[in-house]
Amino acid sequence: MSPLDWIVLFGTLVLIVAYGLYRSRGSDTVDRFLLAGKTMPWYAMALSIMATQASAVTFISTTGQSYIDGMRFVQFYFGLPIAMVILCATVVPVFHRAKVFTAYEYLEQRFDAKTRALASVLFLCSRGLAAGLTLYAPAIVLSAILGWPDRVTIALMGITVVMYTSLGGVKAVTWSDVQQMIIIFLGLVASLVTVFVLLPKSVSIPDAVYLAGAAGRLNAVTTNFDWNDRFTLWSGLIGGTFLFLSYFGCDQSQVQRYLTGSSIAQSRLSLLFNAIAKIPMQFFVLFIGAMVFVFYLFVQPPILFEQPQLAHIEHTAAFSSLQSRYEKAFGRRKEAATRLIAARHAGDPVAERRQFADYRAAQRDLDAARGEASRLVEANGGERGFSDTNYIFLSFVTRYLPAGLVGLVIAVMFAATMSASAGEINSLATVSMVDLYRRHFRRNASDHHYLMASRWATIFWGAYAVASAGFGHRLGSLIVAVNMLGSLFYGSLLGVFVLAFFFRGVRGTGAFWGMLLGEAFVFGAFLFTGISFLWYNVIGCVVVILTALAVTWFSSRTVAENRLVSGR
Amino acid sequence: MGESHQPLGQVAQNGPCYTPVMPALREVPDEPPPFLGTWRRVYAGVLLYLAAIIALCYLFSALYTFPLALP
Repeated sequence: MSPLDWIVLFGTLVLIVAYGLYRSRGSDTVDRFLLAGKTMPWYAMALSIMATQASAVTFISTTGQSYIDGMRFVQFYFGLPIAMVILCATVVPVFHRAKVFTAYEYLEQRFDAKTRALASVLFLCSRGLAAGLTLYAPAIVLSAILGWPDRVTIALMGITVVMYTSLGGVKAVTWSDVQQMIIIFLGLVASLVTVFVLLPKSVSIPDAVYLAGAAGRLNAVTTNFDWNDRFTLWSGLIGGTFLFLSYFGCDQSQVQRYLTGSSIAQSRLSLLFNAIAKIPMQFFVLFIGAMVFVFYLFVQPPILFEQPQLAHIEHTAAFSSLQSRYEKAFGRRKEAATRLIAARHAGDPVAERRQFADYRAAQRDLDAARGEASRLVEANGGERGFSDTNYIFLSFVTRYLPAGLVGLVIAVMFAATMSASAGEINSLATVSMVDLYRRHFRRNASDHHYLMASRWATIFWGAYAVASAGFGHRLGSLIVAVNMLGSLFYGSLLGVFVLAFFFRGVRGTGAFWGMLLGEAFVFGAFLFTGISFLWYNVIGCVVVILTALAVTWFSSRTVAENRLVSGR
Repeated sequence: MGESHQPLGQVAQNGPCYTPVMPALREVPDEPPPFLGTWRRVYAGVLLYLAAIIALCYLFSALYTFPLALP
């Protein structure tokens, strides 16, 4: 990076953190620290919700996902507007009127203490692991740029996030998120414009879109039904709805955002803004990845984007012949792409079909060579299931973006991650303090005591996130890993909230056992089947409801029989 | 605000536990949306928007993904 990049990077970060802390002054009571005194306007909550969900993973992993697999990932978000409408109509007014700090607090009002405790623990498990991954994403950015080990950069990011979160509370998190989303938007637009500018002069924007489509990178909708396919229209609409119902209705990291609203209407508007804006935003990010793919049709990309791993295999005997094959395949693909555009411009469908076949064949050869390089990494002591998806966009940014813009894009990634991590750690601390510590260990202490407990809980969860981030490199594509981890727990959480809202006859014991069995089924599906993770939410939710209904039915039957016996 | 030891909200059978006071939450009235008159209409609008987005994404895929782009 150039000196200008460093100035832009640190200037942007200092500005965001300072502004967030400035707006958070006065967070000196528990309600202000955890809920901002319920004073936040809808637009701040809306951008904060979006920023917490986006994080650096949006930039790093989603672009890489579309580079490798096309834009099918956008279907994942089709369930979001449906979920938001359901939540606005049901959950938001209930949580507001229940006057709770956490979603799980409501479960004790509706069921009992053990159900609240189990839901809290499930949330802590899922969000704690995800918080680690959120920290890991920018750590690999720093590692790639500075050549530092992942662990050092993870620790540095974690310490910064913990300081920021423990000082400012939810208000600092929310206002820094607002700044961050503005910078993210600027960074996205600047990245796409730069990709277009960097394309060869003979390749127009419609040509670029055409080439991306011909390589299968613009396949935004897949209508076939396949249980094992992660991203189809149906898994997105059905599985996605369940996932987002769980995420925005049962995950404290999101619930806490809209609980800071001054009214039900403000909270609803913040969620509906996300319902409208999220899909176009993800489409835009994926489109950038597809355009980066087109850029690399004309500029040879490295066989692997993760430089340290590439350096690790370059000395091996098999590498030179593999590299040679890769370079030949790249040359063929470049020529085929050029001829394909020429045939399109000439309006010759026969030549177009022929060039298309060559283009796709060269792409397959290129993918095969990359696959062999990945296996070579594994064979030479690398991680099993090695994937360089998360390095694709970074590699492009650091090599080809102009001075100043590199710093801005890297700052976006840092700011996004800091805010997302801060939001997660803040919610983890809230649940630990409100649902566990205050409920089960220390009931009647002072407000100051609970404020300090919240700050210590923040520090604890920050340390936990740093520790679990060390395993991030084992999980392949980060965006998929984050959502998969969430899906392992969200189905059961969603199930218990559905019971709370819609099954008035179900009591605490039924809900509690339903959650336990729901988790057992989800982990069974994860360990022993190839079912796509989006369906875990459906499975978990359905098992929780059916189990709770069965327990309730048996309980009521037993009570009725006992009454009958005692009546005799 | 921030007053200590003041119970608030309903508590289940295990007895009272401390809950700090949250300001301006004595009453939580519902308000109409700033546009379209009722929340039901707003929700219907969001769902129609989703249908339009999916249709546009489908058309985008059909238009640019080979061999559909070829006559």
